[in-house]
Amino acid sequence: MANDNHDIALMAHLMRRAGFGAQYAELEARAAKGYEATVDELLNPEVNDNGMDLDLAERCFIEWSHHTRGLPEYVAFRFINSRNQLEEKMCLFWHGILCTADSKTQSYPTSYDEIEMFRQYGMGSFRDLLLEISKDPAMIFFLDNCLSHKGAINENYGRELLELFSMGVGMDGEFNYTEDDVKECARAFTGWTIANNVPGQPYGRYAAKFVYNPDDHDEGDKTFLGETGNFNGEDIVDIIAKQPATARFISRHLYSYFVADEAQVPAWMETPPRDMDTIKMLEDEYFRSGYNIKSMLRVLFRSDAFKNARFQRVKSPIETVIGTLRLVGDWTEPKPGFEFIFDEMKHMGQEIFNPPSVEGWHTGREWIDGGTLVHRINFTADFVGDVKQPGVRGIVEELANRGPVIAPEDMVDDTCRLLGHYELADETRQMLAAGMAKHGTLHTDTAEFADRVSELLQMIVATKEYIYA
Amino acid sequence: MVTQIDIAPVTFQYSHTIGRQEVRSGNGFFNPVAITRDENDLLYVLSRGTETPAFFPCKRVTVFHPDEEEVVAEFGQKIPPEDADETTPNGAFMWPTSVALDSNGLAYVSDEWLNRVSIYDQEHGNWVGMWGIPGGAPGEINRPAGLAFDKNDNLYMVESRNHRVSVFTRDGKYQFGWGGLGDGDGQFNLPWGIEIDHNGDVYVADWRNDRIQKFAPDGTFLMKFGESGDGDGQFNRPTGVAVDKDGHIFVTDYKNDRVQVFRADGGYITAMRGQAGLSKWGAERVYLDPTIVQARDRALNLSEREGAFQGPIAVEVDDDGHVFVLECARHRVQVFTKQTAMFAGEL
Repeated sequence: MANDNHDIALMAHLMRRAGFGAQYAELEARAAKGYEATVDELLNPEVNDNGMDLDLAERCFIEWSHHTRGLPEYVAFRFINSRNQLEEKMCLFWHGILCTADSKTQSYPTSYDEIEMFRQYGMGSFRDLLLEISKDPAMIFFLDNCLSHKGAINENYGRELLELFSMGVGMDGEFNYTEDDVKECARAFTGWTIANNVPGQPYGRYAAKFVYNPDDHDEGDKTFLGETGNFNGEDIVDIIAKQPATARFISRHLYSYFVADEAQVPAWMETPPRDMDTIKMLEDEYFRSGYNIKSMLRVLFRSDAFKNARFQRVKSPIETVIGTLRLVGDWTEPKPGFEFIFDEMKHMGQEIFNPPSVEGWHTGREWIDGGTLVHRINFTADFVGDVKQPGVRGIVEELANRGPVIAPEDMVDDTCRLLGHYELADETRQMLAAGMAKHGTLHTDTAEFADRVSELLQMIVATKEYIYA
Repeated sequence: MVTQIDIAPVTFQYSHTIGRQEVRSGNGFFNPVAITRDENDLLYVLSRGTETPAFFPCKRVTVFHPDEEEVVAEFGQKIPPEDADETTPNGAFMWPTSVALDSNGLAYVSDEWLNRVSIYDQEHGNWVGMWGIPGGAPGEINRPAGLAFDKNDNLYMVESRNHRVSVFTRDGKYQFGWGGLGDGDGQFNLPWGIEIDHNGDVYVADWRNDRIQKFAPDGTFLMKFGESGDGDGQFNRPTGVAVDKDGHIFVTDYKNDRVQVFRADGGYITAMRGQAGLSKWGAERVYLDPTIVQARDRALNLSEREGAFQGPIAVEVDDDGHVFVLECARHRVQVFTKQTAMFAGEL
């Protein structure tokens, strides 16, 4: 039993990080299959059925046809229901780094193509991903590369490609590139633009398309990061991909997203990584594997650093909302009212397809302020307190299976276990147990017992501990 | 030797496009899902719309003349999702799926969330009644989809989640039905559209089985055609079916973005890919804003990209050879005229 609990607790940790969490029954099943097997399954979505009735969902939410509308809800539906949880989590990962925002692009069909590109390339070669994002119509429009011309460059994309998408401003206290590198980078990407699109009136939005205009490409020699040649954008990507700073940058992002909250990106030049050994391990794998993200993830998930890093990340709003819905088992089938999920994330501070800037969302404790915390707790408490939800009913039944009476401390411990082996501080645990003890003997075969469980769940999700994943 | 008329060449001449994206009311549609026509050649298009509160009243039936392109009536009412239950007001829609007309011109609209049929009068679109009991027993309904009346005012209803066809009188009295979940003859997997031809035979778009099935009026299985894929005669989630007076069968091959045309025996003839141009209602919107006009002038491959079907979801035909293809993703109807050889002999 002790080993089982350890395995399930580790699986709960893996599924919170490599996915959006899972119900206890899924954790048990995955633990029985084994940690390594689950990691392999998560890393290879192309060979595993995602388990979604996506065609039926698209039939019910008819506005998803050609993704002209409802893209946030579509993406959220996939987050909730896909068995290939890591594939979905990586789409969100790259969306938060290689950022575009619908507030400027105003084209869901184009954003849909971007997300699908992340799905296709997000666990492959980082070099290929950089090339694809450089051709991504949403990015070209968002960072104005369509306004960058031979002899009249716009540095926006060239600058962010270096600063926010691949290398970062600096590493170990040293700058990674110069202003001249930014300009030369921008010159190399002249001619990488988008076709004039079909306007949204009168028949709705169309996806924008990448075009390369050789007449607008600067064919002169460029000197970039110490190398000189008649570079085009692809050459720039090749040079960027082989930089040690790029390996560091991607490794820190993976660590921050999957292992433990790091400092915010603008501080990385002066702030050393929280765990240099793990970062070094990831950097080595980056080069050993030919810049392969899947290989880095495999190394990461197998590392002790990952396995021991439980509850060291503050859940993002999207992780909170999607994780809650997966926990309680809601929205496994299409039904009216789906738009509210998008609104809930927004009110907690994370509006999908609208990161606050090209820098993406600030994470960790910056997710939490007075307003967003209250909203987060209220949302979560509302759902876990609803005993009609199948996941909540499952918890009630599991607890009732212990016997006709349950001790308050056991009820707290078991409920935390069923939520995914949450670990409460002793003081918190005693406080919750005392709250349950006020109701007298806890008979599991009474109608009131579900209310007690509901009450306890609502108290647990309001604790400081539950903010973390 | 006499050449069979039904293997004579069949081509389609694009006529015009009707509609535009119109998120509220007026000259356009919003995620339309169903189309039908009355004896006066008026077209009825059902817009499924969206939940977004700002877009009101986006769930509606628009009645218009296909040649003059004038809206003559509009009815239906959108409700917020939190009110979509057994207390939903009369005449309101949540997830409307189909519209059909009886011999008196009353319009019947199915709603797959509310599991009911709402009835409206022709002249003003006033709500006049409704029926429907949710469930799986005979006479109960679960996620109604396509609707079609026969000549005797029996309403044939596709029930997608009961995977069957149920036949009701127009006031909702159950007559008979057939089907069940499966891929055998006479079974269905989440069926959608339905059509009754001039002989009274019934065609069902067997959506997740990627095929069309044909039945006698009493439900006796007659034939089937189609399989999964994107080749000739294959389907990726067929949604709608229509049959003209010559027996030609038109199928909206929804996820393949085309309409396929078949002979009466199910043999493949051709596929239509769409040729939409700027509609009259679209032009009203475009010419309000010079920047849109300029954007259209500059757009790369405008006619090719804008013309293509996107989400063809329902099709209607008339006895004059007109084919009306409704596109969900582009909020419009593309109108074609069938051209067939007038001779039936050898050259």
